[in-house]
Amino acid sequence: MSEAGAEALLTVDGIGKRFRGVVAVKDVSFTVAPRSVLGLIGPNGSGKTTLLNIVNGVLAPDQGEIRLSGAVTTGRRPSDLAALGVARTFQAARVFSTLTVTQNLFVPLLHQRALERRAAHRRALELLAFVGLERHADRVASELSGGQQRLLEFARTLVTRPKIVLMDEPFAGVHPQIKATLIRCIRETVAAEGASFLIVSHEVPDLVAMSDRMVCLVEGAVAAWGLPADVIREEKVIDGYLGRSEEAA
Amino acid sequence: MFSVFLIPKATGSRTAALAAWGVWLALLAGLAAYGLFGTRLFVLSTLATVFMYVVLTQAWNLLGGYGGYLNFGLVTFFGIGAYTTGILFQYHELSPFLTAPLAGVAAAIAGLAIGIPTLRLRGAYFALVTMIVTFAVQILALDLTITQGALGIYLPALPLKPIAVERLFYFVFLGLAVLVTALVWAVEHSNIGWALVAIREDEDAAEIVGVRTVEVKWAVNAVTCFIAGVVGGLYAQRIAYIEPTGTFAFDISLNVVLMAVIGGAGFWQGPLIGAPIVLLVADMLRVTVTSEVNRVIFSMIVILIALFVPGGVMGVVSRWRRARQPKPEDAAASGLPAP
Repeated sequence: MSEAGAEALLTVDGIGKRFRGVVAVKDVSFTVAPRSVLGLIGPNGSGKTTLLNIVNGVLAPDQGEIRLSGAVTTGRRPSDLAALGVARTFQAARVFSTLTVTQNLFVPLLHQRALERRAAHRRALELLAFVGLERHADRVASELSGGQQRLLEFARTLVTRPKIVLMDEPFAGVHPQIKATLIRCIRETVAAEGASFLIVSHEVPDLVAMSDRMVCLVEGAVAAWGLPADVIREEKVIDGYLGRSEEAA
Repeated sequence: MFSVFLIPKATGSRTAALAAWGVWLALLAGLAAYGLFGTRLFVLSTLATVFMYVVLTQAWNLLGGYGGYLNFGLVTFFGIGAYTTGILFQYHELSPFLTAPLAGVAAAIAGLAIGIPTLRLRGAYFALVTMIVTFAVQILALDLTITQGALGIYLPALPLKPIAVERLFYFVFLGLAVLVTALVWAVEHSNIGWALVAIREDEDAAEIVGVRTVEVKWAVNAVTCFIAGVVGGLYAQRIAYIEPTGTFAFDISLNVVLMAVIGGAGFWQGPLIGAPIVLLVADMLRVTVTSEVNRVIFSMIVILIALFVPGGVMGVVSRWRRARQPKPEDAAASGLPAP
């Protein structure tokens, strides 16, 4: 299932994963184009997070292949993938709580070659201003609110200028202002830095508005893939995830 | 492989920071003066031991304090260092002062060999394995011909008066303590130190954001073992006799952990505070409370500290400093919801 395979930044090709007897993901294929946002939706337990874990090397697939700019990355460890340009956020923000906000941004730079200290520091400060945390630069991360921690985690993914950012439920349980900031930052990052995003979310209207393509997983398999407006009208997506309104029924 | 940035953090005012450095430098000058002019053998000897433990605890602090990997077997590498200089003297008549760096290299190689499999373990499993390794190496030292088993190895006493010997080791260990403390300070204020803290707090997340966690742990462990090996190599010359039971004594590992925990693991100042406290309290209890009861009292003090002062002395200081720091403007002003 490839739209423009040769140009794809990320190719998920026939991925399957079982946990003992349970099939978590089966034969999932799609691509993410450069400078684009792909929304990944589906009911709880449909394999969305498992798929993210496979893409960024936390889990190895039982079958299939992941390719980044055409190079196979299946089976490589997360830090290797981070060096290749795959960044990640989590369902609950995982910041390093006893480090300051700025120090959090320096952690991913440990193995970055040819990065001069001042340039790195400038990049960190720019990113804090970008997400609106510049006033909190010297605060310990544990003192931030949950939403602010999410912004910090997002800024941390951008510090190495990744090619693709995987975001797991970035809008869940956050203040509307934080959500608006995140959406603005994602759009500006795509436009200014040319990064792509693969976003898992249950906030379907937001995801429809910001995505170039959408994939819906139901029971571990792709139920629909394509333009967001088309995906949410698919019978399989409505039956397996969105449901029908009472009027329509 | 590493791109390390040293960025000292701004804590408090510049005046307060200068005052703190002034206190440390005055203390160092005072200790140097005592080393030059002090005449009490007992005090010189006790302080030399304190400095030796400061070096060991700082070395432990790198992976144990910042990285959260509780190594209960540091004495393994200290002992390997001691035996390296002991054997090199025994068979080649080389002075431990010359071979101490080789002792560090031998300990670092052993640290890598042991660390490559064991640093994949986490938490209590790692702590347990480090203890087991100590006992295994101790048994090896008892059984091998080259180490002369339980007989041990004698080294020649230095041709100096006892007080001159202690004065010499006083300065050797004081110098090493300053060097290793400077190294730990640099680590604490650089992104390698922050990567270690990230490993301590959430190793999987650290790996995902790009820290090669396994390689970082191996490298830092090798540095820790190198330092312990150098200290062990010099210790062999100081006591002029090494044998497996005393050289690989579990008490040494335990003391190092206690010093770090009481002073504050993960702070460069922690070992400077913890080492004298533990040694002085232990000595005081040994004199005032007879028999093994002093160990029980000491253990109770440690349990109380662990329960009521987590983070040790520096943990308290750090929380106090943070509470005094001015908070940024209110959430409404920054346009973000309050924490």
